[in-house]
Amino acid sequence: MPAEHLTVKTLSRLDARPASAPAVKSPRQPERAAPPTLAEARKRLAAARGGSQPWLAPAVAEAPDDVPEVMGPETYRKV
Amino acid sequence: MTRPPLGRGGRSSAETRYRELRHLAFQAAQDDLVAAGVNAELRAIDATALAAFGTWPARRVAWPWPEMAADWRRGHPDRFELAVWSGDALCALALGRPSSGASHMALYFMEGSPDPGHPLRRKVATMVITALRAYAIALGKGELRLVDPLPEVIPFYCSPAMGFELVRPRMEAPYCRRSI
Repeated sequence: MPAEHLTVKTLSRLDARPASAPAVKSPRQPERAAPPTLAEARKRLAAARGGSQPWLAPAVAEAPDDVPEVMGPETYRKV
Repeated sequence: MTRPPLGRGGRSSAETRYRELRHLAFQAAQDDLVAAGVNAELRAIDATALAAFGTWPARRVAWPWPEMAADWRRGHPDRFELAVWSGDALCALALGRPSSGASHMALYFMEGSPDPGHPLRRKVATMVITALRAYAIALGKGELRLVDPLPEVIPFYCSPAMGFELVRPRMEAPYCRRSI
């Protein structure tokens, strides 16, 4: 199809197009809530521990010898 | 309860508050590790840790920890940032961050010292996850996630001893999840 040259006809058609939509602003990142207070954090930690009971079982889980002590993707990508 | 968002100038105060929260959580986790007979110290990734990291021999991954720590400090005041020590030996480094809601705390990077003789060899995962869990509890999160694990570590994390399950979301990296 041959290229269409701008003529009065095509220009009027262009004029008839709806105005382009205003630039869409990227939505703002949701604002993060304020951090808990230290007193709240202490309370949560104490509740999770169930008083003086430690979280951990007496035996600490050990990885098998052939499991690499690495977690994450092979290459670092900036966050 | 919905908390008000951080206001203007809240960035530095948020940084300070989260640093205190990490310290509190790491202290609680460390107390339990010591009670379980593990001589481990849980600290932030500071200049001492990065200097010790510079002495690590041949590694499995080539992650640039100094650059990573700086990147995460700029963008995430609430980050999970951990250096695991035993005496003078740096045994592991880790980075993660919480979800914006109450959902989860995610671990994105963890690397144990490649020195086969380091004092916490084979215990690094337990150290890091204990600290991750304590910080998650302090912030009121409901689950832990280990993002994009290497395939060869998945059976260990999904074993009964560690208690995670693998999730493979469409269009996103797989992760292991566990309730707090």
